[in-house]
Amino acid sequence: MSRPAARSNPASPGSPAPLSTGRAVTRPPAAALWLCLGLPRLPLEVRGGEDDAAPRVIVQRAGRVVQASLAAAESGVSPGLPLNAALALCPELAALARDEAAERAALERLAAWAGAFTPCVSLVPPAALLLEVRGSLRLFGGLSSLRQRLRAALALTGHAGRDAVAPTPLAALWLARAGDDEAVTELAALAGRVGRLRPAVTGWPQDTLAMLRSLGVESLADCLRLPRDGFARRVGRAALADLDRALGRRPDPRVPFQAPPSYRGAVELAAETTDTARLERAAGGLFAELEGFLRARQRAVNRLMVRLVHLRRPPTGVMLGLVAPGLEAAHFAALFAERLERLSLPAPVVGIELAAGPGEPLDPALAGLFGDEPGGLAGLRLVERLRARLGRESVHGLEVRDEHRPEQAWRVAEPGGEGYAAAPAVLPAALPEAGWQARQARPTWLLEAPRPLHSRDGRPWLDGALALERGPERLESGWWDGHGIARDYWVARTAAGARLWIYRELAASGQAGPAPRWFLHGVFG
Amino acid sequence: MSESLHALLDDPRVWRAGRRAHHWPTLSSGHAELDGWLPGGGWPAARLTEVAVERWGSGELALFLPLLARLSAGERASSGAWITWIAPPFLPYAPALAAAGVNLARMLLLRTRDDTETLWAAEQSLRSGSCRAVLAWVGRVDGSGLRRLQLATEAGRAPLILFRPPASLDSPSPAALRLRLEAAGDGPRLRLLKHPGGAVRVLPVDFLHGR
Repeated sequence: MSRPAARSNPASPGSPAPLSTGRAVTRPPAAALWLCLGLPRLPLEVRGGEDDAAPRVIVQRAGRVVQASLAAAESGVSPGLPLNAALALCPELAALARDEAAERAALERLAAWAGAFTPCVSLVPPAALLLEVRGSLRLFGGLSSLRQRLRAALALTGHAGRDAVAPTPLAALWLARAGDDEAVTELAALAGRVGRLRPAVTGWPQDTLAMLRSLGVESLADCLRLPRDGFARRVGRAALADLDRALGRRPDPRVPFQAPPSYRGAVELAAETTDTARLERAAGGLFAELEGFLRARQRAVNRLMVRLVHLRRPPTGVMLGLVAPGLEAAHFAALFAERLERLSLPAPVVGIELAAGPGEPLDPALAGLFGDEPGGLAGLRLVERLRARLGRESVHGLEVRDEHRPEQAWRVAEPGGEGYAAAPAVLPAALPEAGWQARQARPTWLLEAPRPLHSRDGRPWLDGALALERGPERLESGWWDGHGIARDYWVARTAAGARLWIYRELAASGQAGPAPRWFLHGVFG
Repeated sequence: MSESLHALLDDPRVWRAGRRAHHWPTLSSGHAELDGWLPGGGWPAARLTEVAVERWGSGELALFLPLLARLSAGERASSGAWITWIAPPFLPYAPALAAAGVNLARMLLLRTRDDTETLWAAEQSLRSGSCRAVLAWVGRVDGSGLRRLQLATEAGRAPLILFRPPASLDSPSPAALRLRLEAAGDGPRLRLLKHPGGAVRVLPVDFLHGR
């Protein structure tokens, strides 16, 4: 909850009696600290942003420019200009209608995303969020570290932001609007810092601002120097109340934003495209939002649905499945890129939607902060990426089995799997005294299936006669399960010096069969 | 730069000013004779090493097993630090690896359909930062492919041991180390084809089977 930092200011005895919130509790709460995240480019961002560097403007219903892309601004197009005038400056200008519903949706998604930094986020429509961060400072290692992480994480969502910090929400908002990012952490310093701001940052109505100009007011400090009752009468009580809230003389409770239980995001592309890099960039912003959403709720998901929206055609759905529930945007993005590479798009894409279920509670081992790489996650992620391209069965681990038949003394296992506890200890010193692995030569390579060798005069032959170096080691086993073997194994050496593991099949006892056959079974690589 | 100049500069006998004897960290091979012979006293720790094997069965894995044992030791199953094998010519035989002290829980075996997939998988593995070492067997790689792999080893801070056909050693390579494992009747030997310091050198490697 918000903790309005209401303090009476002894220097202004005429101020309305503050509601003292701190008096009734035995332990006064630590003073609140508000971070305001302003999103000055939201109108343009929800209509495709600056991705292709084309001159475009967002236009309000009245036909006035609300926001200009960088390219448009370079041609002299600026907010407030009528569209006709803007077109005169920049004939190739594309005008897009402002989409306030999309801005609101994006703001709410970012509020849910910001929950990764503090449980207390509130909306300041149309384009700002307020985060009460006092309680998060320790977790993030201090204010500047928290701000750095917030900025880095915001950049991944594709939104431009401006943040400011102050002990009251309104002061933080005004500082953010002014682009003043030097943090104010003490209430005592607030009046001086707020005083430097121009009255326009308050968002007061135009006639109020005009009235202030007529009074010769240039800054909020000038406002504060005016007599309170005169200010209330001539400028308005609402403006006076705002000043009191901004300076902490009056409580300013904020309603915390309640995020929906599951994430649903959408982004429009600046122009229809089949360019995978552009699609990945656009989807990457949504994945970053989703990561914050999941971190805020300490949840992870193992299925995501990406929809690539086309004009006049049903969307192309891309279902992303994870081996283990995850929450990292980079991971989602990598899986998506992998899928996209092998996807043939039926038509250019004009927008991307992302939906995820509520997911499941996060495994604490994976619950790092933004930007951390918890142990194990990178490894799992790699297995997933490899499997997405090579196929599940082409990526596996190895396991030893306690079994005498060489072809059954090992088996394929899940990578890093759990079946290892039952396997013999891996260090030779720990092998059981009677264990054959420790004492007998075993080749580092095994053939998928034994390969028959030629023989001359009963001697095995491969590029010349094979010299038998070591052996025989008799392996007889498995007669009980129908896959029995009876073999004499030798370490043999080719004329070129390569060492092989070969065996001679033993004739069933008592039978005088044909000459014994030789097989190549392994290689001492 | 022309191909022939590349070839010239890749010849270890060409001395280049400003080039130190070796300028990368190394990892002990676990074989004293080998460490004494390898430039820098071991395998490059986060670089590309190319090995051309004339005949499988010359100790091509034994060269690296002590290193793999060390790199895979002490890793909990959940730590996700892999030793990745990509497209090996035969099955790495688990009992022999275990007997050499290699922690099987860290082995990741990949089958690929072609060299393109092998190179892709090697780069992904290295760049993921979750591999302690990568071993890959590949047929054709061009110079830019090798450079990508070399960069990936540096990014992922892990060694890549790339096994290539002997004929491939004729073309230039950005590898830190290029070796040929030669078959010979009196025992295999390692030939150092490229190293920053000096002349081509040869080491008999019968010690690999000396146990």
